[in-house]
Amino acid sequence: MNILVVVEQVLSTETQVSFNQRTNQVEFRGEKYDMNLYDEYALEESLRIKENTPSVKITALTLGPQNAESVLRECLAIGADEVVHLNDELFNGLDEYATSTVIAAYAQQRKYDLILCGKRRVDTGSEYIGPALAEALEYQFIGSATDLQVDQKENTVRANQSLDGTTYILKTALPAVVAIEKGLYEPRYPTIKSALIAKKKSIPKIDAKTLGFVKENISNKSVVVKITSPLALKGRAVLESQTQSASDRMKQIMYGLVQGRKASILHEQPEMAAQKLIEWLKVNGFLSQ
Amino acid sequence: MLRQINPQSREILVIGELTGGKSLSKLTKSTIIEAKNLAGREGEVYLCLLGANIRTSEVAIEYLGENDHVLYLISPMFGQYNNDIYNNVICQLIDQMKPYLVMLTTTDIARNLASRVAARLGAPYVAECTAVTRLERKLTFEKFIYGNQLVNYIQYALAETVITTLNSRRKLSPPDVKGQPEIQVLELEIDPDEVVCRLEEVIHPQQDRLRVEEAEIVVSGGRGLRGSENFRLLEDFADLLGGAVGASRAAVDAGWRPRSDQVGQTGKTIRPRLYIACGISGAIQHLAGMKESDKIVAINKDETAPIFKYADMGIVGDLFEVIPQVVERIANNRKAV
Repeated sequence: MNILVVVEQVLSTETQVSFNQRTNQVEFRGEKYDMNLYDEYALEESLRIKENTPSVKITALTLGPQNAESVLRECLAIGADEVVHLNDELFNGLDEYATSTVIAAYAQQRKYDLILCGKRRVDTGSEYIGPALAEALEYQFIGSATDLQVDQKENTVRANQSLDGTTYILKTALPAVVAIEKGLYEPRYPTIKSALIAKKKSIPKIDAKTLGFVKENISNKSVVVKITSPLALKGRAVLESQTQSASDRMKQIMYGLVQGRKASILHEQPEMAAQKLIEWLKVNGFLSQ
Repeated sequence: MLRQINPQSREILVIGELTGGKSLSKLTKSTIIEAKNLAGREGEVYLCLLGANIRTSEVAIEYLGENDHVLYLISPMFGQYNNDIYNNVICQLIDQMKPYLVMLTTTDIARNLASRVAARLGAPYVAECTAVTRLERKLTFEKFIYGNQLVNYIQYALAETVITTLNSRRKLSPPDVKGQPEIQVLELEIDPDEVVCRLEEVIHPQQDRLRVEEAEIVVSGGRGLRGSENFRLLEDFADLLGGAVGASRAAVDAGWRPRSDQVGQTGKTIRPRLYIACGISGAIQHLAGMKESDKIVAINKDETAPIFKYADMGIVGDLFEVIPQVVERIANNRKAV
């Protein structure tokens, strides 16, 4: 059984991002790139299927620039059997629509039984890849799923789909694309040994030309026309002080003091704190007087 | 697959949800308001509601007027959500109508449906935008990214239908509408063979509580709650305020609360009037989901917790001592009245 796990390298959720109105630049603090959290669960689900099913081969794939390789090495270290890097200058800056077209072109010939991906990207919230791959390959689709079970005799996959607090237990025929939600478990980590082995492996790359893409037949449908910060939208003036050092400024941004909220922090006995909170709730219209 | 639309098209399709079978959900209302804002005086908004048994005469439709339409799609197959069927029906509807924009809300179901509809139609999809504006032949979507730390404006030419799910940021005033929308009720015959993905079992939530994305007030708990049974305290507090109970990732991953209650970068982004964070430290990923709330209260034993930097009112103390006091006082005041 062949499983393809599509993973994406995304901006780490720990990275602090701000927009400098003066220079019109996006600024990062602690800029780091990780495997998309939901993709970690997708890989984990594939490994659990492998543990319970004979002769499963797991291929992890990513479409991304050169440094996206690290995500593939991580997949190898965690337990993927092989990896593929769709890498080409033409692939840089593609939106999810275009990305899914490229991945579909790769997957078209290879007849995977099951394709797993994270249900969305944590950095942009995009959730197009799963359904788009299913459409392009004419596979069944289950979104937002956990706890997959494959039945090779029946040629089906069964999954728990969790939506708005309700759990739907679904079963569909293979081949299928399943977009994975976080499970109530920790995905396994690579061992130091496996990480070192993965570090030495060469990562196969596939370029645009091999998949039949040239500049003319691949493009984004959208354009980003403006970038700003959430604070600017609230009309909150960003504090500018001539006397502040750059590091103080950075600390302020980090600590959210430019949020403009005037916090009254109480260090009181519980009874007094409760009383003051109730007063505050009344004054602000959340409790009737 | 380019679904050409008439660039002069003035139609916006909103797929909405009902709460309690009779009223539009809060998210649906804010989506309609945004759609009406976009449509202006000459545009037409179509609100589509799907269900197995909708008492259409009892449904309270708001914010739509004589230029607009309500389309009820009824079928016993809509008794439970099913991605295959809903996808087929909505795609057919869009094919017939050719609206320039299709707006859904940001419930899990809506996003599950929207992404699939967009994929089926080969249409552009903007996941979780916060506002939409139109200038002549261009649609611009405002979208928060990177844990809601940055805002992008993404533009599309009005050449094909765009699908979006909206988590409204602007508190737009309800539109001034005249008259009543045209109401159509369509009973659909759906071939059971359209269901390719078989539903084996449905497990409903244990309690039918107000959902975090629907509430104006949210009382939320994190690691400091120490266990699922302690959330009962927050439920009592939320009930007195008429609010919902939310949770941080820590509380959900520990199995104390359902994932649908999670607020944060890998949960929901909400903008309630009031967010009370109890035993939540304020990790950057959690802040992403709630820092846009109108007012924020934080209760935490640790005065260095980052959440306090984002609070309008902070209490450094033990939530297990403070909140019972609050609940008791409010409850007593109510009894005394």
